[in-house]
Order: sequence, then structure tokens, then C-alpha cells
Amino acid sequence: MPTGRHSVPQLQQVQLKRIILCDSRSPVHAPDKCGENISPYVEACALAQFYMRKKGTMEEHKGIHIDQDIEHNKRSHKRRIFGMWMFALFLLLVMAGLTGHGLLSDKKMTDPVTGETLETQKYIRYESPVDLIVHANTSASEAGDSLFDISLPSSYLENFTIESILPQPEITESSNDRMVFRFRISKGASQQLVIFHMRADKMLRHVTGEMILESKGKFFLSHYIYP
Amino acid sequence: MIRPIVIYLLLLLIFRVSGKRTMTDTTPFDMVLLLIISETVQEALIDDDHSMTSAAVLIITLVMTDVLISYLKRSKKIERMIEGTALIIVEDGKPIADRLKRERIDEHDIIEAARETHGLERIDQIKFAVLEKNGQITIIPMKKK
Repeated sequence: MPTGRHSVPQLQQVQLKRIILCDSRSPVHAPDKCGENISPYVEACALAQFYMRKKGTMEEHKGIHIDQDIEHNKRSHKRRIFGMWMFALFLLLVMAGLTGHGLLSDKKMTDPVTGETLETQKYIRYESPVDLIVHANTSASEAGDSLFDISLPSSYLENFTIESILPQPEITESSNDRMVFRFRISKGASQQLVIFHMRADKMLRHVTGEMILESKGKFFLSHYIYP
Repeated sequence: MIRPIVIYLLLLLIFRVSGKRTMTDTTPFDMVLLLIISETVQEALIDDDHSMTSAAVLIITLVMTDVLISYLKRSKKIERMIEGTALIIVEDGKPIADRLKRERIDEHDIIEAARETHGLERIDQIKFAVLEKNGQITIIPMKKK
């Protein structure tokens, strides 16, 4: 029971009237008086009674009205601890490379036939940079041909913005749903390093594609882009 | 539009998990932390779009999300889930140790609040100290005999 006018919560008059007089669950339910003006003190006392009867909505503890629920607080504490562990686990996975550079993400592929290599990341983030580092074997280029091709599917490139390619390709052309980058190579060079600096444009998708080199080396690219 | 909603809910989750007292005691370091958080969130919210349309969409989305959450909070269950409940942490001058531990509060925080609000000198002069939903500690002093 409320002990005085000041111990009763401040609530909207309209809401009070509706609850204490019109609501059949109210301890002072009075349909005949519904909408009638009664003193704010009576209204407030009735509301306090009404709330206290509803388990857990308001507790009177040694004279103070308080919305306290110890069991809820204990459960909430357990959930918070669980949440903290989840955050810690997430950070560990991030450090391991689940969302970018790291053990889980960094991939180095080698073509078994040509011995060429490609380095990239499996997990990347939206708008963050991603590199394709190709160590191409140019000794297999046709005799007298000082150009070397690397091609990527257009459907793969649609998900990225190419910020730069090192060295710059001599020619870039589109053929059969693939983008072909043609590089000039110095005579007698057996190895060529090519770096594609890209940035992911789309998010929440799994992007796949096959990089084909002129030397017939093939690399299957697979990235997951986080938001 | 999705972006601000996701960020809003993510911040709500992070601050709920971190506990009530995380941002109530604003020390100079907390201020710096808040600035860093706001800067990080801003980057994620606006991306490269600095147009007024984007700002309008962003602000309206955040305000509408907040209004929606306040409507949802009419349900007692949801309100408790989002804001928690008040908790008595000192009763008749005696701190309740397990509750203080759960909420990461020590007796110095309580006596500091008591000094600030009522000029009390000792913890045994406190009848009740309540950790409110917003993380503030309110003090009800012992009645003078």
C-alpha cells in the first residue's frame, strides 16, 4: 500500500483514469464512474495498488516503490557475461582473419602445372582494399610475343572497383564475358609480378571467378564480402 | 536506410551488454572514447555520400527507429530487456556485495553519489542507494533522529 502522496509514481492523468476505473482488471474497477473526475491522490493510490498486485511490475521495498526484479537482474547479468564472451570470441576470430587479413583469410595458391602463384584474401570487407598478387610464368609466352595476358570474368569484376594495376596493362579488352589485361614483358624475363589493387563494391555476397593466365595457369578465386 | 538501423541496434546491443555504468561516469577518458565511437559510427553511417538528402534520410531513420523503440518499450518485457530494472545496492547503510559485483560498482562510487547529492559523509548514513535504469546512483539518506 502506498504510504503517502509522494511515494506514488507520477503518471499521466488520462492513463490513470482509464486503468483504475475503466479496466476490469483494476482493483477499483467502476464502470459507472468511468471518465468521472476524481482526486489525483485517489487515482494515484489506486494505480499503485493496481501495479503492486501485478507481479513484478512494481515492488514496495521497506517503504520505497521501486521497479526492481532481482531475478531479472541476475538473468540479465548472465546474458551480459555471455554477450561479453561472444564479443571476445568475435574479436579473436577477427584477429584470426575471419573478416580480413589473417590465417583464416590469407590464401596462396599455386598452379600445379605451371608453378605460378596467386596471393589474395578469402574474407574481405565492403569498401576495403583487396589485392590479387600474381607471380606469372612468362617463359611460356609465344615466341616473339612480348605481351602476356591475364583474364578475369566480368561477373567477378562487377563486384569490385579496380583502383590500380601494377604494372599498368598495355591493353585492356573485353571478350566472351571476360576482361583481358595484356601486359608488356621484357625480353627473356621468365617471371612477371602483377598486382591488382581492388576495392569491394558490393556486400554480403560470395564472389567467385576463375583467373586464367596466358601460360594456361588457372586460379579459382573465392571471396566473401562482409558489410 | 538499413545502415542506420543496423548501427542503431548494434550500439543498443553493445551498450546493453557493457552494462549500465559504462557511460554514466564521464571521465576525460570516457569523453575521448565517446568521441572515437561517434567518429567511427559516422564513417559507417554516411559512407562517401555527403549529400543533404543522405543526411535527411539518416536523421529521419534514426529518429523513427528511436520512436519505434519507445513504442515497443510500452511492453514491460521489452522495456526491461532494453533498459533493465532499478536495483537496490545499499540497504540500511549496508552495501549488498553480490549486487555491487554484478553491476561493477564499488563503495567509492556510492559514497561519491551520496556526497554529491546529500553531503553525506559515511555509507552508514545511507538508507537506500538505488542503481537506476540509466546507470545513475540515487541516494535516500537515513532519517535524522
